[in-house]
Amino acid sequence: MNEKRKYYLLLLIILIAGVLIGFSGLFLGRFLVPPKEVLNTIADSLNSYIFGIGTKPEGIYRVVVMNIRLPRILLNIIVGASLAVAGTAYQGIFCNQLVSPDVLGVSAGAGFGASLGIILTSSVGTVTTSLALAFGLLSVFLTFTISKLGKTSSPLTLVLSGMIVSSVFNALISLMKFIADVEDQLPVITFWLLGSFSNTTYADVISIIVPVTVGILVIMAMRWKLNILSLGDEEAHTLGVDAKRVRTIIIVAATVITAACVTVTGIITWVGLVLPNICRILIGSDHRYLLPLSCVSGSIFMIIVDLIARTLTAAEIPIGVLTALVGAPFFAFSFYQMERN
Amino acid sequence: MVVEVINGSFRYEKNTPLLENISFKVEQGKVLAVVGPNGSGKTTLLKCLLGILEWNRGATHIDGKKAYKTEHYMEIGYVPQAYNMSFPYRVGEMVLMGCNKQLSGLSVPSKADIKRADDAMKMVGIFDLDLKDRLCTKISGGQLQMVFIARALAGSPKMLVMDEPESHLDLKNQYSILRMIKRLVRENNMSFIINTHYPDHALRLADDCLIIYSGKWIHGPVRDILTAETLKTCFGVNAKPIKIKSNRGVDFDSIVVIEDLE
Repeated sequence: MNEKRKYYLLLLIILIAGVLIGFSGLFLGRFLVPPKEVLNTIADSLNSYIFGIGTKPEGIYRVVVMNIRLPRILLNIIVGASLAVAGTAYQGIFCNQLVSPDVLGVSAGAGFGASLGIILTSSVGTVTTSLALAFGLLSVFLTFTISKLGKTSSPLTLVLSGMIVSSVFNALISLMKFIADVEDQLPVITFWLLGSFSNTTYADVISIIVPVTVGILVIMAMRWKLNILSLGDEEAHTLGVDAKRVRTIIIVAATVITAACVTVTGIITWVGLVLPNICRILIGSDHRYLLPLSCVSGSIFMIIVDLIARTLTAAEIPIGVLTALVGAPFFAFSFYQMERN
Repeated sequence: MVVEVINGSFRYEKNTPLLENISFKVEQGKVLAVVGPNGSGKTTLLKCLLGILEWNRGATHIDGKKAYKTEHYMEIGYVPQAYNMSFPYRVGEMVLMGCNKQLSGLSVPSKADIKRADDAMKMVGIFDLDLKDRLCTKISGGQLQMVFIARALAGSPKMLVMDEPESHLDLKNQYSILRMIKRLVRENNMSFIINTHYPDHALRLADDCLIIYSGKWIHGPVRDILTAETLKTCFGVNAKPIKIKSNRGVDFDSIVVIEDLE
């Protein structure tokens, strides 16, 4: 009971902090909008769009607050939650706290699929998204198969297999860039690969919301089964869970989420690895509590990191740089913790 | 519940057969001990019996029906050997996972399940130790073994399959496990299949015994099977069954190894 209370308290604190930070994100940015104008714009927008009264806000402030900052923060929330949930799910099904969408090669695979899509269609559309998903699934399948080739299997085997698969797909991405049309395809690929939230539009938010919500709901529904599966296939079987079937469903859901995020924001590393581990230290390993906590803390983490990325210096810092700066030391820390246990 | 293995054979890929045409039966309330040297296939036998591995030939039958799906093994609880856990679950969470068999579809444990997990912990005598919120990685080997037994009991099984439950444990913990098995048979009419390295434990606990060694097997009532000759053939050591009195003056059979160290 004590642990449950701690969980609800943590969830509440993170949610409140998330709302506050998300809201303050509307006030911050390189373009100075007076706080009063921000509030006016929000109030006017609420009145006109939700309650249907008053006039729609206009002018540069409206564009900055409602069309640039708001969709960007919304996308931060969605992508942060998605990557953290996908990471938690992958760690659970592979019984390994060192894996994540990027470590398993899913991000690189989806990245290659998406670059192939851009080469074929010169845009980021349905074909690109489908290819990202297909290659994301292929990469997780390859990583898992390679890790099972050896006689012994340790957590590091899966990490190393993921490294192999990632390098292959990263090489293929470079190949795609090499053969891409320098005028229109190469800039699209390069820009998108940087992993960035800049130029986010509502269209991005809308394109990602359905696959991501479905994926997260599927994984959340499986939260208890994920506990059983994290004990390993043999024990899952003896506890009445068909490990292969449940694992396949969770892999597909987590890969759909990752591929959708990669298609919109490019490859953002470390989030799926770091957040689940921080939450595990805070609340324990039970996925009934771990998944919701990862979900909300992933969102808030992404809002904060993106806020730093877009406000710290005159030019925007690539988001991957910041996530890596936090993630790399933590990767070392989790590895140390795991060895100690 | 009657669990029966009929002509079970198993080999790992291209290796020589580990288990060949094994047949035995365990009836409700009975204990079968499986003994044999390292690498003889005791753990493999349990895995095949439980459907974790697939028999190459033959099958496990539960109440006369061939078992081949995860659902068919619902009434058998499994207690694995102590192992390194991927995630440090709390004791309460670990035991609660045993209730999964009673959960339909995607439901999560209810208050009734939590009570069943508590009851299972009471049955093995760890409820009062205040372990519930401790991490499984931070308790002793003996306690962890009890946690695994409680987890298996939380699924309300009619039979427990245990893989060397007393190995890695000190003498005191070994005997508390043996006593508990005896008690569960006596009070709950549970059946057991137990892998053990100790012929002495087999003799004291089991009704029947299955000896596996170098691809061969012998099965029968424990006193007929665990003789000086079979122990010599199977383990290559000189040992013999003896009758002695316990601390409370009760006669019981035991096995002593009569090898000198020179």
